[in-house]
Amino acid sequence: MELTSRWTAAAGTLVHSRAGGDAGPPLVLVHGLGVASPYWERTAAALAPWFRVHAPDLPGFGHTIGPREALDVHQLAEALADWMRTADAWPAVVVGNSMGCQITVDLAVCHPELVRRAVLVGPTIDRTAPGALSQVFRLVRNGFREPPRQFWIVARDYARAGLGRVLRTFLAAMAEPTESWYPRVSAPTLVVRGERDALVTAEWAARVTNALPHGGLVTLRGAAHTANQAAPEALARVVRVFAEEQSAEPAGGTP
Amino acid sequence: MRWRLRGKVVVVTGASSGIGRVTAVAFARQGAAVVLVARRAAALEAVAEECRAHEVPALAMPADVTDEEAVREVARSTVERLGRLDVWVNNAGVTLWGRVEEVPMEDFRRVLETNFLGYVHGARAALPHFREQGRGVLVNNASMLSVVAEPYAGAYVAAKHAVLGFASSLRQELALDGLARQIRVCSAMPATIDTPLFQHGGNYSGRRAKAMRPVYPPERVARTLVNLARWPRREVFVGPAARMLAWQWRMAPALTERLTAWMADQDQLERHRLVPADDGNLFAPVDDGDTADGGWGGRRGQARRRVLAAAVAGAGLLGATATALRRPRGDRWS
Repeated sequence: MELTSRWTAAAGTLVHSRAGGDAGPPLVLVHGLGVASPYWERTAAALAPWFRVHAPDLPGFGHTIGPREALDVHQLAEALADWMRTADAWPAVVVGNSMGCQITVDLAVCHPELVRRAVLVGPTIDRTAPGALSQVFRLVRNGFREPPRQFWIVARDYARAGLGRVLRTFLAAMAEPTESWYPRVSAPTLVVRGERDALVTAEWAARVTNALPHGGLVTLRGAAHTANQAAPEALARVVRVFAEEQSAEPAGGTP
Repeated sequence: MRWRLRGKVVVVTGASSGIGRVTAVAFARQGAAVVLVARRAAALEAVAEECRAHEVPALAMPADVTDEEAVREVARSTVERLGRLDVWVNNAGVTLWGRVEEVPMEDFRRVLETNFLGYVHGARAALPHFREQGRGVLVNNASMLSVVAEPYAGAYVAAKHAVLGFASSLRQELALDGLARQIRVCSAMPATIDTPLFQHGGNYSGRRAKAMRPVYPPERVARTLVNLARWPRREVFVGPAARMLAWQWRMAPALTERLTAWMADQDQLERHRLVPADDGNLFAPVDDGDTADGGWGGRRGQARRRVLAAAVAGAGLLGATATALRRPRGDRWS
């Protein structure tokens, strides 16, 4: 299904987003560190027949101009909340990837009325690794497991954001105590982990799921950290099933 | 990346025709959201449609730049509807032909109000938003007549000189505030540009006005204004003729002044076509003429000059090569 570019005045700037689908409940895709809406393109297209899909570029990333100082996780969540209200994209199923999961959790805790359900694809920061440097090593190792086409999409968006902003946002993500927020997420949440994810270990994914009051875990075969790139159709199927579930407890498993 | 324009919001005054129109479309092509300001709402809406074809938001805000409150309202409205204001292009301008002693004083004053005070109003409207954002670029479309002069256009020359000085002074104030890197003020000084300015101006000289050659296409100025928004510079000429004339003026001011006077008398106003006195678009916009170019052959002239320059360079290269490859004739010592 075709996606179009939209521009919305929100969060003190002009926010660019990719949108598709004209029927169904709103679904918001939240990108991770340094990247933007382009890497959600295939997942968004797969979900568009059933949802009104939105993939915004958060301030400072993609085509959305941001302030000179890099925003931290909470500020990005506030920007996302402001955009969601302005673009009338709530109450939504919010799907985050990588640092986008941290933003989604912050959003679910501070603005619960905006988040109907949450999906955390590769929830960072995995604290089983000792420090920032080991996160970088893991990221590099994970890079070899991602589909090759991802490299150029990600590299271009990193260039758009600028190295300074990417580094400062990374440090902000490292400092964010997302682990303490998990127990306060009231919305039903699904944790999705790619089987070959080197950045987020299976142990960490299990810990996150247990910390969430209404959490479920799904493992995607053949995908690494950005499952939306490696397995967009499978991810879309998982998200659709989860969003349409009647009960509050999500069913876990391995599709 | 500081210099990309996609997602930035740009205001262009005088956007209904001429340089403003081409500049607005050029910004839209780069992915910037554009806000268009001019007096004629219908012409403005047509330009906005052209900009929207590049898949960016384009808003038409009719206003007269001589009205400070209206200009402030444009800035306020832009931030309200588009969320930010990154670039303000001061471009709205009118001209007046006639001798200093003969043109009506209110027409003279009107040119200064539009071409100079209009730019001041724009700066005063945009700066508070730039300060709040911590970044912004103010681009002034001045003229080569900011640094040289011509006869029969006293008010226009004075206004353009004033713009350059004002921009410089403003830059100094921003530097004292420590904002020299964040808020930039740029001035472009184009040579003669192919726009409807010449035929729309007020004319009390009795002679029909035309564009003094060499004439450049408005796209050239648009490219410079867009590049100034990306890589701001203090003062930039547009068109080699502007740079050369300014250099001649600096080297031999008195001589160049008299030469320019003679050139303008020959080529700026026609001898054979006389027209009645008219205040043109000074006090009210003219009905027709929302084209980008004024029919003065700017594109054709530029193409012709380029072909001529290439031919001369080619011939020179050929001659130099032939000379270098010449067989030596006999022994030097014989």
